[in-house]
Amino acid sequence: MDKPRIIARLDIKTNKLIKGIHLEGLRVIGNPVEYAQDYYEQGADELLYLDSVASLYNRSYIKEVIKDTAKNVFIPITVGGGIKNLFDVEKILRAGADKVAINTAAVKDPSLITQVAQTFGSQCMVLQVDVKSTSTCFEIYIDGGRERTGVNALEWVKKAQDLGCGEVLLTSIDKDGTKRGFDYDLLKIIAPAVKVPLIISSGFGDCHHLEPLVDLQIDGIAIGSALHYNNCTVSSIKNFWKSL
Amino acid sequence: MKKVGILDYSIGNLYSVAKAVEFVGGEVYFVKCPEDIMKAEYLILPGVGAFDRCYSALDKGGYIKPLLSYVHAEKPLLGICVGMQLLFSSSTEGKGSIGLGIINGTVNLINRGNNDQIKLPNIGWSRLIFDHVCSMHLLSGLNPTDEFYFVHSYNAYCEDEEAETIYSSYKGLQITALVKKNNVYGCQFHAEKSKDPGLQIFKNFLEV
Repeated sequence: MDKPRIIARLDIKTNKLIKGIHLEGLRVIGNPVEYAQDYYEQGADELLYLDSVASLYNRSYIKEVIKDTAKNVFIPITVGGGIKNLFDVEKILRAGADKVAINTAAVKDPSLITQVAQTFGSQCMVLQVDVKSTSTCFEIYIDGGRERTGVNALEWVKKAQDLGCGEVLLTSIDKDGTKRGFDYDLLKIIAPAVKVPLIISSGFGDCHHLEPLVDLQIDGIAIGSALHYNNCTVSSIKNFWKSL
Repeated sequence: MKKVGILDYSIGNLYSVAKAVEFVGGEVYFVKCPEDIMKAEYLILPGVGAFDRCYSALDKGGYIKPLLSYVHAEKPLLGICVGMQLLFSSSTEGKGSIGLGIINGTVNLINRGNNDQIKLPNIGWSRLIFDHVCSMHLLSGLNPTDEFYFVHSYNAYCEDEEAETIYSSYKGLQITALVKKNNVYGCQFHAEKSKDPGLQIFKNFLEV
């Protein structure tokens, strides 16, 4: 596998950087724009902003965060969280974002994927997939990990990626915030089925967690906790990958 | 400060292009009507999404003729991503479309041959293939190890003897990364999203 893009993931609540475990239990960490600037200077390839309470609060906070970030940070920015329609997408892009990550709204109406891709380009439409392991399969969750759907993750990914998304962002709720490694069983099932670039998130804690990825086709790795809590830096991760 | 016009004709992230130009010392204004094109000392043609939609938006906005006049007057123009592709004769993307025809050549889906292990879009960071004897001004101050951010599924195949091209490689496939014809420049990568090397491209463009 070629070197993956290293993406700094910043979960946001209003204008604060936060982090949870298993997508809940939010702990405030600080000013996201400052952290984003730091990760940019460390060499991050992209930023991923996930608005954790977008459906509850109005969206002006995230727009200000994006705008402030884009003044000095010249790498691609993906924004997700509560994006429901083309109007939301346009506002986010105008504020300085390049791509949108959509989960809930796409599950409820898959035609939204095609609409976003056709209006703004498929490169803009990232399909976010939040997954939890059940006894029988990997199941899709929506609404920030709050609502189960009964939908099989592999079936959903196979169907949705043909609707025009440019990338898939795969999150494991089981592993999120734990820094105990990725869900490799999930990756072994999903990665071979993804025909567009695949970004994985959730579980990275130290560089050794990268080793099992070498035999899979993973295009980007989104890292949150391990960066925010200073367990590693972007450069240490990139250097480790070079040595594999 | 140099006045840089950024054509605001289609949906997309113009904000980052503006911020990058400001960061390197340009004074930005958005071109929102055809009459404003000639006022620019430097003009940037951004573009994201599908070629046919972008060309249609340029056409509907009445920008085609003013753009061609601007180029004929040998004023500096920089096309970014689909903006670069639009400089060419035509594209097969979507329903297919003619382009501005400033540079001869066609834009086609990146040719993967039989290898469907190569994913599209091409999203990620690549180096440009050039060496220290390369005289293209837009590459001043850059190293062959610098990486630029590409995100595209279509590639411009240049057939113009008066144009210079710089290539990049995506999994062994040749990608047209930079093109120059007189004072018209195009970059397939997003210069505004390519960290310091990208900012250097803007800096060099403002010294044309």
